[in-house]
Amino acid sequence: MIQAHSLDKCYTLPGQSISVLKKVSLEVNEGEFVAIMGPSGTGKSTLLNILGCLDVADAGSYVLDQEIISTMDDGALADIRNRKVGIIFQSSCFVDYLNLPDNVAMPGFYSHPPCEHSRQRAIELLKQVGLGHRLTHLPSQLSGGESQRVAIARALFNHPRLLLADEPTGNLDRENSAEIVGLLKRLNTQGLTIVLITHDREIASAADKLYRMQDGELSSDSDD
Amino acid sequence: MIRIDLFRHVHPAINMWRIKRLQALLSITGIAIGVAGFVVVVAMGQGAREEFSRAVRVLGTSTVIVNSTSSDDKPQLNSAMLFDLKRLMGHELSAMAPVQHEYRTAYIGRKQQRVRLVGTNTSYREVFSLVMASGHFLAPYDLRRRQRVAVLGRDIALDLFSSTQVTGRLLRLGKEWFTVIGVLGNDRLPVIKLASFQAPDTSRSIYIPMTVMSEGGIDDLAFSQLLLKFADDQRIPAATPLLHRIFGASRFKQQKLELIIPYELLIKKKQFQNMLEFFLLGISTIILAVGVTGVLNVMLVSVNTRRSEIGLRRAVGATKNDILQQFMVEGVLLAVVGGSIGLLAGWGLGSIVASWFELPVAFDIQTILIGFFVAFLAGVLSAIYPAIKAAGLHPVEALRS
Repeated sequence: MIQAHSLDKCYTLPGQSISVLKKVSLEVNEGEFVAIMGPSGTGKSTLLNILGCLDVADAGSYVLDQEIISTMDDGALADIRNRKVGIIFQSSCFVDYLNLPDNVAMPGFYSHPPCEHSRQRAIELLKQVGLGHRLTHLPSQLSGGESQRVAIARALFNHPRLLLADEPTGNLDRENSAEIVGLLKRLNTQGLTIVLITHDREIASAADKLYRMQDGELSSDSDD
Repeated sequence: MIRIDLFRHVHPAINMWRIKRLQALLSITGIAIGVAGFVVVVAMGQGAREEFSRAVRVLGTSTVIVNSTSSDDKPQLNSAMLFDLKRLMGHELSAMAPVQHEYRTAYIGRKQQRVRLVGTNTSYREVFSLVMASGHFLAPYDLRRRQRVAVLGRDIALDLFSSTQVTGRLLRLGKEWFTVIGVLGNDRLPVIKLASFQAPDTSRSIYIPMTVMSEGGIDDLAFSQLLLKFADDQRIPAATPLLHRIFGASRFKQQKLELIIPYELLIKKKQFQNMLEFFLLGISTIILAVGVTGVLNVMLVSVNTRRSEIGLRRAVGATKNDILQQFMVEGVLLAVVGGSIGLLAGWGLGSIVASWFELPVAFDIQTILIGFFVAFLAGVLSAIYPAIKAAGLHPVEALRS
């Protein structure tokens, strides 16, 4: 599913250049649940942005589901994000003036052609994550745990091949965290490939495979 | 591949502005005022042009009017002047119509109505290009023999007889009885006022022979107005000094008489209206520019406060072009709503201007289209920069905020 090879990423600030990713290589097979751990500021999110086609690496190659991402232009990247990737962010991020079904259906809004029964599918997904009774609510009326469940529903809308989660439980208490992790685990058993970023060992233990990120370098946890 | 489907962005945009209605309202106001101003100016210009062409159609370009202005109502013009005029410049004139008018009450059975009675001759019909609905206009014979005959304006005939086919019917005007010999077919005309001359509403007047009105023979007439029609309007400037001599230069100096060349006055009036229009257009443009700046500001703030939304939309598959379209639609929507309010306000304002200042104001499809176009243009102008800025945001940068 993911073949990333020797990815480099540098950020240039006035007067200095910071190397965030250094020759990062990662392979994830279809149906795998992978966790990447590491302290903040080590390049985890940068790697996730590249894997999620939100950003491109300065050097190296990236192939996602047999498509060569590293050479794509902005429009093609948007299309890949739309069709193949679902992303869940740490702080729940919504369009505040749209109700829950419209927020969940947003990936369908940008599909080619736009999804026809988008509202129906959004409601179905909201029911799946246990929010079928909140259809007319706005995102601001949700609790933290509910928000992340809506975010998962949105990420699943276009039947993605890959689900990326950037600290999805970072702002949640234990109970809600466990619930979100359980949900991810269930999706994984249904065949969805998942890459999860966390700094919580307990959360990471849900994954099949664990990687560690340190100073822009990725290493398998089993190497320790 | 670039998709352009603006309409799908309209519904979310309406949702958004409904929630952020204070922002929306503030930016709409400027556009509304600007468009209202524009609409009024356009409608005034249109009204002035229509009035001008209507007045030219009625009065022609080759009409000259000699008008008594003295307040004592004593007619300043007489038959002797007509003879001189015929002798000295008859070859240049295609029509010469003396006019004297007064108000009388017309009686038909139990109906009665105050009417404007015009004493004139056969040529009057040519000066105002009158057409007949039935019968004929005053004939030379009617004047020579002082026949008590009357030609009715269309509206008067309809008021008194409920018909325009009333030739041969009798009509009492004051104490005298008249036979109707014809009814005019011209539609009702708005009042055209030029200096001391007011073009008559031909549909609301009754015409009788000049000789009957002034109770004198054809060589012994006294009247207060003379309408002249030149065969060639180019000859009018050269003929003016001669006209002064014929009617007595001192009378003009003492302001008992005045020479009116309607076409010249119309041109002057039009020039004044053009100037006014230009001035108001300038003011409206400034107001509209302020309105555009308002929407621009609201849109820029909107882009800045919605960076994470932009990032999110990009993350789920929106292209730069999708974001550009979204923000363009949001801006144009504000401007079009503001413009529509402005159109309505302009219509109201125009009606007030029309009635208070007696200015002609015309609202037609063209005015409405121009109003919408101006609003749309204002929307595009104010939304394009914020939209480009929004579309140019890098998804990762946008999400970070």
